[in-house]
Amino acid sequence: MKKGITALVNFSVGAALVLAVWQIAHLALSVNVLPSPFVVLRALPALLGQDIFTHAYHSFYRIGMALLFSMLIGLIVGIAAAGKGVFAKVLTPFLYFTYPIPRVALLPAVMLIFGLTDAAKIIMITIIVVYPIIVVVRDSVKDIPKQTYNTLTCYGAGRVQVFLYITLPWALGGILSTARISLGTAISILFFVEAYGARRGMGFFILDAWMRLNYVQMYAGIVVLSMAGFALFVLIDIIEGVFMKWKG
Amino acid sequence: MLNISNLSLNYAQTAALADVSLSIDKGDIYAILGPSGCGKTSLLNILAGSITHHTGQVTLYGGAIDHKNMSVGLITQDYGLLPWRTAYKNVILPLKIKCKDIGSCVDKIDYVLEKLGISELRNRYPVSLSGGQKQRVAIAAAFVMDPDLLLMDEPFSALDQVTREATQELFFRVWEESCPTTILVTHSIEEAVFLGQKIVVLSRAPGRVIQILDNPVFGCPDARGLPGFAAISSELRQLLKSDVRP
Ligand SMILES: Nc1ncnc2c1ncn2[C@@H]1O[C@H](COP(=O)(O)OP(=O)(O)O)[C@@H](O)[C@H]1O
Ligand SMILES: [Mg+2]
Repeated sequence: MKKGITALVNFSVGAALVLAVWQIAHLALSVNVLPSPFVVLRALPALLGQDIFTHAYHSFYRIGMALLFSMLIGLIVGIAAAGKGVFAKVLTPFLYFTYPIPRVALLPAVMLIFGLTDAAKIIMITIIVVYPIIVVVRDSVKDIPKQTYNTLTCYGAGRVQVFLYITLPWALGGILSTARISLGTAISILFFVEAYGARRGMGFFILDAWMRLNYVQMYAGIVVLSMAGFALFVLIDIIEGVFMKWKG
Repeated sequence: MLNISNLSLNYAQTAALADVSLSIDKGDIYAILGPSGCGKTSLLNILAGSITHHTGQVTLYGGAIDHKNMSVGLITQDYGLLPWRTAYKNVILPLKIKCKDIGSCVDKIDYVLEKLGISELRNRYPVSLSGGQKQRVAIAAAFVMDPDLLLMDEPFSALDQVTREATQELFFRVWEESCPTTILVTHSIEEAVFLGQKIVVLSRAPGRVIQILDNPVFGCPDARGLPGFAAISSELRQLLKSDVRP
């Protein structure tokens, strides 16, 4: 309850500050490409008739799927890369070699191969988000103190049990700690992939309004996309509250 | 029943144990006393199965220690609790690993938790527990598994004086109900005298056995106040002091 109130206060203060900075910028620049936030907010209800929910739903779906795949792949590959097997030996140089490649530049290739589909967009976001997750999972599993295994070894635990009781919970903790960064990246990339060959999605909506020189609608779209991102942030907070209680 | 013969251990840079031999009967509690760095933790880790590059022999009931099918309890300096499991889930961890049916052990678990005074802490995570409370959770975990062999590595050394004595006494009361064969290593003379039926004195690194003493005040109520307690303590102090090398 108390936590809820703190969150609400933080949200209100944050929103007020953003509106204030925006309004000041609007007054200072006084150009029609930066309308007042209040004009934009007043335009929001009118958007509801504009299929805004369909657009938001598509964006949500793409981000959600991409995050899900990224975490799943990141978990599996990251844990494998932390091991001592052949896979780790092959994977480590591969990761080091491919990490610096500007993966956003692969967009044309991904679109040529997978077309203008949802799959292409989800794959694109996943390719970018999954890398840091793999690295974090690998490092966190490698950092498990050796003594952690001692009691389990003493109880005669097998490999599968060690994995279930130590490696997996530890790696999940690592993933959750990066979830916010992953989400931020995913939203940025989402905007980018929806700019090409999409008829649905918030990225498309914003760019479409821009092309039509409807700046109020463009900013309204940005506000909606931000709110969607904010909702996902809160979701991560809640998941963390439930599963990371042990971190105190 | 536990036989350690000619056990030696070398690390890349240092020799940790030199030719340690010991034989412990079922139901005995041995305190192994030695200065820091003399190889006590290494010795326990060999018995616990996490160090395997030693030479020499260790047998339990005549065969090699089979951690899967026997039950060996371990209580370490850092308590060895998994932070993402609640106190209760840490206590039942050894039973889970052994694939025992928790339902049929509930009475025993409740009894041990009650006896150690941690029933109310069941649902707390280790982060929210004090050192003494974590220690009692670790002790509970070791006892619910009815260990064939119990290994303890300086279990009380991180606690403050008052908590330490209270926890030692509590431990002893639980221990004497089932008398599992126990090895407790410590650098504290006081702890060795309070809990050790026999006291094995190790030399400076690499650890070798200097002497094995019978403890006349073991198990006496209020042992700490007896004249014998002070006497054996000073004898041990002399033994440890005499082992100074330049
Ligand atoms: N993993 C290790 N690698 C190399 N040397 C070690 C390792 N563990 C312990 N040692 C060394 O072995 C000796 C005995 O250590 P340890 O068994 O921890 O002693 P104690 O528990 O009696 O303090 C020390 O000199 C220590 O530095
Ligand atoms: Mg030690």
